[in-house]
Amino acid sequence: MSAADEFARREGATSALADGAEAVARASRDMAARFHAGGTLLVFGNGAAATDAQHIAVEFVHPVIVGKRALHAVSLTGDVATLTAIGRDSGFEDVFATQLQCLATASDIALGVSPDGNCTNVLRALELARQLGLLTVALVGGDGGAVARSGVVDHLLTAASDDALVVKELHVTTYHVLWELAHVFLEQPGSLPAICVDDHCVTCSDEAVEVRVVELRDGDLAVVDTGSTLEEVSVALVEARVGSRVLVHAKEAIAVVDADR
Amino acid sequence: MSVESLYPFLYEGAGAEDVMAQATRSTVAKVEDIARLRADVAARYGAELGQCAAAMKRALDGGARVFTFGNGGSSTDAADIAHLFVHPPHGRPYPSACLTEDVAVLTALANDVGFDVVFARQLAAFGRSGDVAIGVSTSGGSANVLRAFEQATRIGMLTVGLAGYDGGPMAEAANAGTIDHLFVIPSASVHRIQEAQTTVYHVLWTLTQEAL
Repeated sequence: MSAADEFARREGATSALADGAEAVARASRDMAARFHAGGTLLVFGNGAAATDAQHIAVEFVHPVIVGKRALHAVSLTGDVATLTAIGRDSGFEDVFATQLQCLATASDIALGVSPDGNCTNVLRALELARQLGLLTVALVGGDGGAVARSGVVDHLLTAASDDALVVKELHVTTYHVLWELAHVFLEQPGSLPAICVDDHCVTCSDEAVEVRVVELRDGDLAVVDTGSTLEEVSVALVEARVGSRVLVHAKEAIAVVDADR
Repeated sequence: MSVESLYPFLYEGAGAEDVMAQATRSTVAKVEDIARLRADVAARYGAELGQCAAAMKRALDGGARVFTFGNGGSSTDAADIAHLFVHPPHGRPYPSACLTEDVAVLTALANDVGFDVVFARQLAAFGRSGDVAIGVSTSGGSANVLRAFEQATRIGMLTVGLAGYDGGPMAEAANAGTIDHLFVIPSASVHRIQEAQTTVYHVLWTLTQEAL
């Protein structure tokens, strides 16, 4: 084939990526909610996808757009001493899950990259991440393989090609967009969903906490910033405005502390 | 380029649903951008990619090794290129090494001499006449990549460059004869440049695997 033929055979899979645009946007929004809650992005993959994992980490840590904040991201492929030690002691299939077990907290994001969705070590890490309460995201291709069938992935983003080279090219676009949109959502905290880590959110605890209202919603609901997370609470009992500081007990705002402090 | 200028709607009090709808539309627009950019690159460089791959193939069949280098995101592309040659998904493996992978060497050179020489010094140590040097830069202006091309040319290597924007100093280096084949991705977006560069090196590798 000629170079022109090689370029031309990418066209169909590229336009299919546009069909999945909303899924990419939703994944970005949920990743932004985790970053807003102080979470870290943990990325992993094999071969070419190992280089993607490192590219993704540097994308978030050292943004190409001057002035964007650095977000904490780590590639689990970069530490060769740890990688080879785990491979020697437990087998290559555990190289990512073992690191994740040690490094992850429930507010984090696990992002696995696997062109055919059949990398066992990627799948094991995603399974463990789901158990630990992390947001799970996977970049796959083809039919998504075992990762797609596992049911442990919150956001499965599939490149519509069976060619690993073409899949990688679509993944590069996808993760560039994930990075850019994560910042867009982070800069609009009112757009972020409430997250409840460890089945415990700040505002549903049995203790009144002071929070700030960032958005009023229909049904006497409001999005509040707890300082570490954004959560949705009822403001039916109080006269709250955006910017109000309210005391919340068991998801109900019970008093306005100081409207414009 | 600021996020504010790309998403002015976000700074006018849009609600959560508006943000999602606009984010979706902007994703579609970016996908259309990269599709157009790949078509531009194919039209601009289709013939030269074939010539470059043929020259690389002749070098590889003559025993050449492929050395790759770049910084940041481009260092991951350099690693991907080396891995493609050494452990290809199909076809014949060829010896290749990415000059960013040995952290001991990289930090020793940067600490003792300076970051501008981290790739050039390695080429001086490993490179032979007839080997292939592939340097990746989005700006075309990375000093250590430019120094590496100068060193590679002194040694008599085949030199291949990937750049973006208008090619910057790498375009001047190509005019001066220190880069044999330079592929400039005509975009002002670092992201779209990297995406198109990935296709360029994938196509180069694919063509070197075909019988020429």
